[in-house]
Amino acid sequence: MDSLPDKLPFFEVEGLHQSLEGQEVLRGVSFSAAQGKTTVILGGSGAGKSVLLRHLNGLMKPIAGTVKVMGRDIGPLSERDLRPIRRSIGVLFQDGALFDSMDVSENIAFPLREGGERDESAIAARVEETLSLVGLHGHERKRPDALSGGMRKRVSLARAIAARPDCLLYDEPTAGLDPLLSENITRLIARLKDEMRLTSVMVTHNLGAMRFVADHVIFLNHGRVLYAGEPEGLEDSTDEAIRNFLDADALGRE
Amino acid sequence: MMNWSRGFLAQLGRFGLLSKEVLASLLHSGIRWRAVSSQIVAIGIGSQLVVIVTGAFTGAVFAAQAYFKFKELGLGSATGPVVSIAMCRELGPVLAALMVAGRMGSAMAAEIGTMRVTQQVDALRSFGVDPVDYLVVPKFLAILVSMPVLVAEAIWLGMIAAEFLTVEMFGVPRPWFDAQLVAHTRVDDVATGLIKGTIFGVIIVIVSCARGIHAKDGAVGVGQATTRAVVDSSLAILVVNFFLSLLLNYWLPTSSIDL
Repeated sequence: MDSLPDKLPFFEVEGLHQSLEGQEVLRGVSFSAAQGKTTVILGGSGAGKSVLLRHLNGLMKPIAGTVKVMGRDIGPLSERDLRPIRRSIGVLFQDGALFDSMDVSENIAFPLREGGERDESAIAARVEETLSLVGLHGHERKRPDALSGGMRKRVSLARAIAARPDCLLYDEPTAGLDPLLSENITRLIARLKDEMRLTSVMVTHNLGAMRFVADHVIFLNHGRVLYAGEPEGLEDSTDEAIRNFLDADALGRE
Repeated sequence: MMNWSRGFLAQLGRFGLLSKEVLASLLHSGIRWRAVSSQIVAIGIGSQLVVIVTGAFTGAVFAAQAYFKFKELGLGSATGPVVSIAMCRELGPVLAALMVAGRMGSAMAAEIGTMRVTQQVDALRSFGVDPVDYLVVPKFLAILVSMPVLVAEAIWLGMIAAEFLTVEMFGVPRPWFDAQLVAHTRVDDVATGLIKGTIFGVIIVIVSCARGIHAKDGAVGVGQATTRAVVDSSLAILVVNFFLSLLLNYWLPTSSIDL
């Protein structure tokens, strides 16, 4: 994934269906995410947002429909064939998913080592640079269980960008954080977007975060796309489920 | 009953699938030697105390019971060979494996299960790392190295304890005990124990790691996976031991005791 042809969407999802434990979670989801842009997948709890995100790097296989990454259908690919594609896509997991057995610097160095980097001084320099970027310089030797929720997210973000991926997936980056930390993480994501010009897909139910970073919005409800377009257009939508979501958010902020 | 059978077959299928993935990984992926060595430390060195204590006290108690009964029949000298064959062929490998299943099987299931429910396994996959290569294969290789050594130690300590008890406490002459022990312990007996121990080690890793990989429902699920890993691997060891005993006794028969 060294050279990315222009114009081709980074992700193209077509007619995606998924069921979990007999319950239909995604019902024919279609959308595309443009290169270099931030696409936000918005929706309430249980809408299928995180399940949809897990299809974008092949962590889940669709039961019907296709997921294309830079024009390549990843559905039929084996785990082995998916490896280079996955290495080009960083993921910020909802709870960080930091490796408990490693300290902060080892966590961040992990994708570099797995990507084939053997020069320890280059790894150390990249770890330091990435930690500075997320504002955690000096925390290299801490274990994940000694970090606060916000710090864990930032370390996880540092780990996701350490190997300089072409794309970042964010799964509820502000979930479980207080408003101040939530704003910090959102600003950090916006900064990364500007500095690294990455393609990003963010799953969230946080409208504030969406307004701050989104170039394109998809609203998901009960496994169906109710809206896909500019963030501003979402606010003008007359769809009942979208209006309820927006009104509930406004009520929550009063 | 139908549900239980279906669940049992599904579980066997998971064990088979994981075994296949481990073999595929050994054939096609590089081995993480650093992880293998740290697992050898955890499994092999970390299990020393439990295996030594188990081997020694099993040998001692078996020698005592055998001597009490054999003495009544005037066969006190048979104690050494009987303890030796029992320790080599059955007690050494089975008890060492049960101890390792309790100690390491639970640890393996808990480690992988926790990683699974906290999305660390997904994180591995998202970095292009196969969880089987990274988490299971090093344990598999480490137990292949560790189990024969642990079984040999259990057998050796069992025989030392049996000799100490029989000679020092029951007054059987040491040269006689040693002569009978050496005369009736064959390489086949020791080989049987080591082969069994290695197979039991494979069972422990496959059963425990499969339980961990399929853990779900948070901390409760990890607890259940850990319990099932120990129960399943212990039961599998006992059942497989029966069939292995029949098979190995045909292939590597035990010597007859001529007193």
